[in-house]
Order: sequence, then structure tokens, then C-alpha cells
Amino acid sequence: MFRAKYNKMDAMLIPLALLFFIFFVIPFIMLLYNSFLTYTGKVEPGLPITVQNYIKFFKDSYYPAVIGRTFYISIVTTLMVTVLAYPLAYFMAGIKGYLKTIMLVLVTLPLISGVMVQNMGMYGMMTNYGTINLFLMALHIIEEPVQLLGNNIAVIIGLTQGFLPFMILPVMNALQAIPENVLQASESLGANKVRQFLHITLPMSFGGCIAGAVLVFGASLSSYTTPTILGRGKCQVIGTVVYQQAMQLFNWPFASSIAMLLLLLILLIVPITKILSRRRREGGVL
Amino acid sequence: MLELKNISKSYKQHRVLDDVNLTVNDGEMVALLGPSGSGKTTILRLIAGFLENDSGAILVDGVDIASIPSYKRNIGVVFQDYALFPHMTVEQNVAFGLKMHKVGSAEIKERLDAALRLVGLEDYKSRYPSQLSGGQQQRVAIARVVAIRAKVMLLDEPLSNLDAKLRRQVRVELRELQQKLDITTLIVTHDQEEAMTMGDRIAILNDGYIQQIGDGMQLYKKPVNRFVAGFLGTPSINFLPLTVAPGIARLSKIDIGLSELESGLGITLEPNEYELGVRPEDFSIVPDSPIKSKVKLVERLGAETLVYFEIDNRVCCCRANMGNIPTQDDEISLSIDYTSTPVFDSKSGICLNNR
Repeated sequence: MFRAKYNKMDAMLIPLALLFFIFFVIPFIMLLYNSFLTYTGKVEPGLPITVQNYIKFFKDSYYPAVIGRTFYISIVTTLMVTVLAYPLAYFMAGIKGYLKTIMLVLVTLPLISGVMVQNMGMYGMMTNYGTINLFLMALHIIEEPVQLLGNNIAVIIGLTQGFLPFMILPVMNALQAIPENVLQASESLGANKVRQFLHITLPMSFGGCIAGAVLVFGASLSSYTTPTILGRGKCQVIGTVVYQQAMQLFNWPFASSIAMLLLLLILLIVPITKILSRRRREGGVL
Repeated sequence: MLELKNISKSYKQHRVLDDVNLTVNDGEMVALLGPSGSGKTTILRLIAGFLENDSGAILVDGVDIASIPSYKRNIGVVFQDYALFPHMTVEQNVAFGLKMHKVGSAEIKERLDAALRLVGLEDYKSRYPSQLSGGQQQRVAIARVVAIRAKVMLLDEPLSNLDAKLRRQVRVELRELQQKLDITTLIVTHDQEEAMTMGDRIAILNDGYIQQIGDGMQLYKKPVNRFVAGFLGTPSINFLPLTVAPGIARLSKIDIGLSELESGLGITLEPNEYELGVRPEDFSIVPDSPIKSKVKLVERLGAETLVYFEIDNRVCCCRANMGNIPTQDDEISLSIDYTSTPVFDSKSGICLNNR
């Protein structure tokens, strides 16, 4: 526990608590309630209360396959982001001054520009007569345009690019927090650069990797824009299915139940990260 | 044996170390004492291999270690903030160096146990550093060095993160441990008491230059220059301006006998400006003498009493005899024991009667 006693400053939490209650807790309860209502074919769902929506989800093999695809995409994205972000975070933790400022701006730019701008840019690159295909055709490596969009790989590439900052920033912070003399101590005890990295740097930045992985994985599970644009409707994930059910078919009860299941799956990450970091917590690293 | 020969080091235009020569004999503990910014930590980092010297040589047992990377030097460092590995237990911290040196698992266990027993942490094996006190953390850092059987141990301000009471205790423990291990040790400190009590010899560093090397009493009694005299001793030495003209000596405008002064100092003084260094214990309060003053303050510290007074607007301090203690505002006369006062050239600061 950080501290047990309340003080007057805690009153500053009230506005946030109110906002949270009105725009999160109440809609959440409504969502939960909706997921047990019956689809009427009209916008307004109706009674009776039923668990039919949940049963429907597992009866039809299409929906579990969506879950599977979503997890597949999310796991691969998280791994890709980790592998790509770590070296960059390592590099950025070691630099100072202007270069660092420029790098930080570049890294956070995708967060500022928004997912739509990035995805449209990648769409332009990867479309049939886009940059990549034209380039390959100009070199006569291919004669006909290759279908790059509308598959899992296109979505994974899009998500990886978009979520890199979520990994770079926490990992960079974790690396920067490693005192230089701890590394020097390992050196004086006989660790060369490689072993120093494996035994000291990597474990001591593990907490940052976990934090980044939780952010990337969670954001991937609930992603909607990238699968829609780069998947071109052929790559259905939980986010896109919920959107279809709610906004196109007006099946709010079913959309709600899928959303509830997604939430349940996301909550499963928490104990997993706890287990992963328990050993290190005692060391005071995470 | 650790030898530093003509070591120089500059950062950009700034010269941090200037022709440093220092030898630490086998099993000896040398204290490198200097104010902050004097370059003492730079010396330590050069020996450990975290920095490279511009010129000169560092020899361990006669071998130049310049081309040996730090991870192969087998020089143990105990850092000021201990630099323990926070994600490892005490046991893992101590065994780390052994694993890196590819020691067999049976021997690891043996040397690990021996190292922990030596520092008295056998019962803390599975604790993490965050669960230990500062003193215990330091002992883990020492155990790491002990376990790898380092040829040389470097201690970087090892006591500065401990509270005052613990510091005295650890000081003794550390010294005993070093003697038991018989390990060649260089300790870097800015605390003269620490250097005096722990070092077999002390090297005084200032402005990247070793001013003087010797045992503590030697440095205290026979400083080579004004810096060393002023740096050692609490309360510090009193510097009094001394003017010598043919046949006359004036100490802060007070006439003192030149022949008496010269016979005490053991040298003859050319007419010139000098500075006389008077330790608080070299003043004595006497019934009558040409040096007169008024007591500003009396500090009774139990074992000793310090009397503060002014000579020509300079505050001076004197250790008073137990039987003869004046009180504030008393008029006093003082005599100086010239046989133990160093005299310095007022320009160069070099001690002239360093016998």
C-alpha cells in the first residue's frame, strides 16, 4: 500500500470519479444489461432476458474463429513490436541532447497523427497500384500487382507500426533507470558486454517490456480501425465484428455480449503479467 | 602490488590528473584523500578500466593492464552506493562474479559460503538488496569482491552513505576485514578521519596532482605544502603571516625574536614574506608573552577545550591545557612552540622547514 490514510488532497479525485462513473460505470452496466436482452430486428432491443446471445457466439464456429484470429494477430503484433522496439529503446536510452529530442518526437509522432492518417498512408503504399507494387513491377520482380492488403499480415504490419511507441517509451524509461555503476560493477566482476546485457540490462528492463506488452496486446485485442482499413473487410477481428453487429445490423444485444467476452479476455492478461513479474517484484525492479 | 606511473588524464581541455605516481604494496591499504573534484574518483575509474588514461601506465603485479578490458582485470570495486544487482538475491549477487569467471558449481558454493561467512551474512542469502540495511548492502558488495579473489580492491567513498554512528563501527570492521584478507586496497575518500584511521598510508590529492604520500602522522607533522597542512587536522591549522627583515621577525605585526624563531624552526630565514602554520596544540596560554589577544569563544568538548581568539583580525584556535582554561573576554598571552610549526613560502606555499 502506498499509504493508508486519506487526506484533503484526495478531494481532487472527485471530478474524475464523477466523469468515470457517468461515462464508464453507467454505460458498462447498460452494456452488461443489453447483452442479456433479445434482438428484435429493430434498433431498440427488447425483453425477455436471455443468455441466447452468449450461446449464439459459441454455437457458430465463425465467432470463436474471430477470437482466435484476434489473439493470433495480437500475439504476433506484441512479439513484433517487442523485437523491433527494444533495440531502438536501447539506442534512445543511451543518447542525449538534440538527437534524443528529435528521436522522441519521431517516436511519438504516430500517437499525435492518429491511427487513421497512418493507416491511410500504409494503404497507399500497399494497394494494388501503390508504391510497393509499382516499385516491384518497375524492377520486373513481379509483372502483375500482388495483393498485399486484406490479410492478417497487412493488419499485423499496420498494428506493429502504430503501437511501437507504446513499447519504446516504457522500455526506454526502464533502461534509463539502470544505474551506470551497476553495469560497471558487473563488468568489474567479469561480465563482458554480452553477458552484461543478458544478466543485468535485460532482466532489469523486463518490467518495461511487460508494461509495453500489456499496452500493445490490450490495444491490439480491441483494435478496429487498422483491421478495417488494411484488412479491407476480409480480416474480421473482435473489434470489427462488434462494430458490424451494433452499427450495421443493430443487433445491440449480440454486440454487447461479444464486447463483454472481449473484456473478460483482456482481464485474463492481468494475472498472467502478475505471475511473470512476481519473481522480480521482490527485487524492486518492477 | 598496484603501481600507477606518470598517469595523466584530460577531459577535453581540462586536465584532471597530472603525472600521478602511486604505489600500493601487497596487502597494504592506501587512502586517496582529496577534496571533491580533485580527481580521486577518476584514478579509481582508470584502475578499474572504466576510463582510459592518456599517458602513463597502471601495473598490477608488474604487468601493464592498459590493454586488458575491465571485465578481465580481476579488480574488485565497492561503489559508493554499492551498485548491487537489485533483481538478484544476496547469494546470486555474490555468485555472479564466480559464474562470470566460469568457476565450477561445487567451488562456487564453497567460495560463496566463505565470502558470506566472512562478512557475516550467511543468514541473508535469499534476501534481495532492497530488504537489507545500508551496512548490510555494503557487506554484500565486499563479499562480491572477496568471492572472485580480486587482486586489488577499490573502495569508492565506502562510508559516505552510512550514518555517523555506523560509520565509525564499519570503519573498524572494514579495516579488520581488509587485514584478514590481506588484499591490496585503494580507498578513495574526502574524509580525513576515515583516511587517517583506515589507511596504512595516505596520498593527498589536489587539482589532479598528488601533493604528498606518507602515513597519517607524517603528513600531519611534516606537510610539504600549505594545502596539505590546511587539509589535515580538525580544527584546522592556523596560518599567520610572518614578515622577516634583517634581524627582525614580525608575526602579524607582533615582534617576535628572529633568533628564537630560527632556532625553533631549524632553518635561517632570508628577509621575505612567509606564513607560519600553527596547530591548535602548538599554542600555549602563558602568563606573559608578546602575543596577546582576547578570548572570543571557549568550546568545551569534554576531552579537550578549544579556545578561539583573534590575532590581527584572524580567528585562531588553540587547544587549552585542562588546568589553565580562560573564559570568554579574558585577556590572554600566548606562546608558540616553534620546533613543531611548519613555515611556508607565502608565494609558492611550499614548506621550507620540512625536515
